[in-house]
Amino acid sequence: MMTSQEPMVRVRAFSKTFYVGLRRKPSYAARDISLEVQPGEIFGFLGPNGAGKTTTIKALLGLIRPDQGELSLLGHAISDPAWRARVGYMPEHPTFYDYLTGHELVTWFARLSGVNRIDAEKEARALLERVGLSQAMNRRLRGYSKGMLQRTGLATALAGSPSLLILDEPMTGLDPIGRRDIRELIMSLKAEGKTVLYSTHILSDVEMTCDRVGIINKGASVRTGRLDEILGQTARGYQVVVSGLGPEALARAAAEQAEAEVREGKIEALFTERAAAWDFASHLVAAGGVLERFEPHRDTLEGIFMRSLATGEYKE
Amino acid sequence: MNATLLIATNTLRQTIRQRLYLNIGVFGVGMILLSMVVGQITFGYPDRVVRSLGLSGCTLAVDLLALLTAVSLIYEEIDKKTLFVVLTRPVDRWQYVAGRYLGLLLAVALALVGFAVVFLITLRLAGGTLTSSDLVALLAILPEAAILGGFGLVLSAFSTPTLSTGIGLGFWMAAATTDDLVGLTANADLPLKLVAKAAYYVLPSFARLDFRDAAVYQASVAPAEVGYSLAYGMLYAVGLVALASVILTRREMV
Ligand SMILES: Nc1ncnc2c1ncn2[C@@H]1O[C@H](COP(=O)(O)OP(=O)(O)OP(=O)(O)O)[C@@H](O)[C@H]1O
Ligand SMILES: [Mg+2]
Repeated sequence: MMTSQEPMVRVRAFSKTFYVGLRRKPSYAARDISLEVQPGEIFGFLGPNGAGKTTTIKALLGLIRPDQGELSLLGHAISDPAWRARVGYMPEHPTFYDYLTGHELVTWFARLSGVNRIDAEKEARALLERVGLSQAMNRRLRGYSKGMLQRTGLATALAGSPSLLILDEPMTGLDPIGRRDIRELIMSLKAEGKTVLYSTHILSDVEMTCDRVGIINKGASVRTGRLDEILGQTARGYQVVVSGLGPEALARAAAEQAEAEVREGKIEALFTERAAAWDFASHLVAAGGVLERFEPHRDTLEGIFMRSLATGEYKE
Repeated sequence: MNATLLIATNTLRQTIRQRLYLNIGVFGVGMILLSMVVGQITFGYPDRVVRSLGLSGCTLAVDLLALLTAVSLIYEEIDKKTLFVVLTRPVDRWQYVAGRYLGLLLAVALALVGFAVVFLITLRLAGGTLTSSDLVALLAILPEAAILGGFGLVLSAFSTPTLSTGIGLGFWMAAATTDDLVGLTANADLPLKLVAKAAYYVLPSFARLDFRDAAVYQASVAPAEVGYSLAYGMLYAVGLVALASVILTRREMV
């Protein structure tokens, strides 16, 4: 049974190896991946191409069998069909029956989840309006663009009102407006109390929407936690930008400092200590420079991501 | 509605909206009409010619439709990842396979009804009248197509449509000649004889489902024989569907 403490998604020490070709060459898709998603949160599943995101998602949905590891959805083992009507899934690059209209397709999926015909038709119309396809819903999917198919995929995942959504790269291939729409949709799902796990490598989307993230690389978890904690934990520094100095003075100042560079007639330097930053700035101002910026430097998710990948590689 | 039926009706809709369905429909009707033309230009018995050529045309068209549709039934859905989404819904894999197959069977039966109507009109025009042996011959096409469709379905659970079509055509030819196999190899070496014997027991026999000669010569067919043939064909098909389910259940969706 599911208790209130039970995570919606649990993956512990998951590993999966594929054997490719006649010579059965091993391909280590997942070596050691762990993550947990709590009820009501938006979880960003991050990793570069080939990190193992899709593999993990497929194992969670019972589409592939894990070699090792403990996986569960809504407190149920994956082999237990009890979670099925309550989880919505969208695969990466979805394609569907192109002889159906968008409305027929979403209705069909709602009915597969056990909704009766009349309610399913109503629900499909509402969902397609919600993803911005009210104009196209009665056209055959054959004539849909990539972005429209992506939106249809989301509507399909939402059919039957699941409480957990697992979306594999829902924003890939969309234009900026499409991405914003999907972000807003994901936020509105959270507002309705739904839980969302989505994979991506677009960091700005994650920064805008996610409560927690899990970063994986080469089949292994390298970092998981609350986004604000991850961003807060990293050493905050101070950034100083000074302009108005001659090229020689700039070069000399830059040479004295380890983390400094000259860009467009300005010097930009990073310090971990506030006092050192201040010393540097006042020194240059005394020499005739103009202080353009003096501010705490917050790490970005991108910086953390890049460093996690560089340092967190799985060692055999 | 239950998941199997939902999948079946969707498969029916998908199949009849495909170009292949129309193409084979045109082909089958063309074969039947051709039988009338040939019946007119040959000497004597135009209704016999219509029965012989027309029923063969019907059989060929329906069998082709069943095999060619079946080979992509599961493969295509894995390829497009539609199946991934379907299987995360409250649908068991065997329900999915059964639904796909049932939909195929409905589409094939619908085509057969269409061909039968064209055949009967043609027969009328050629001066023949409908008899029970005509109906038996038409009905017996269904179990044959059901076996070919089931075999195509098994293949589509693990191989590409092109390869499956090749294997399926081989299976078809073998099934059409199983009864001759044992006779043909009577004087052959022992290993070959054993292979022929094994094939005889494993492969279905389409000769046993062929009542066309009885129709052409208007011989009567014992109801028990018809019933036996139908039951045999359907049982064989059910076995194939079960096999396809087992394959899909064990298979990973990569
Ligand atoms: N069916 C398969 N056979 C062999 N290798 C596979 C298979 N599926 C995945 N892999 C390998 O496992 C690794 C992880 O793949 P996966 O698709 O899970 O990555 P991903 O994180 O989803 O990447 P992307 O961002 O490109 O979608 C890759 O190196 C891939 O080559
Ligand atoms: Mg992927």
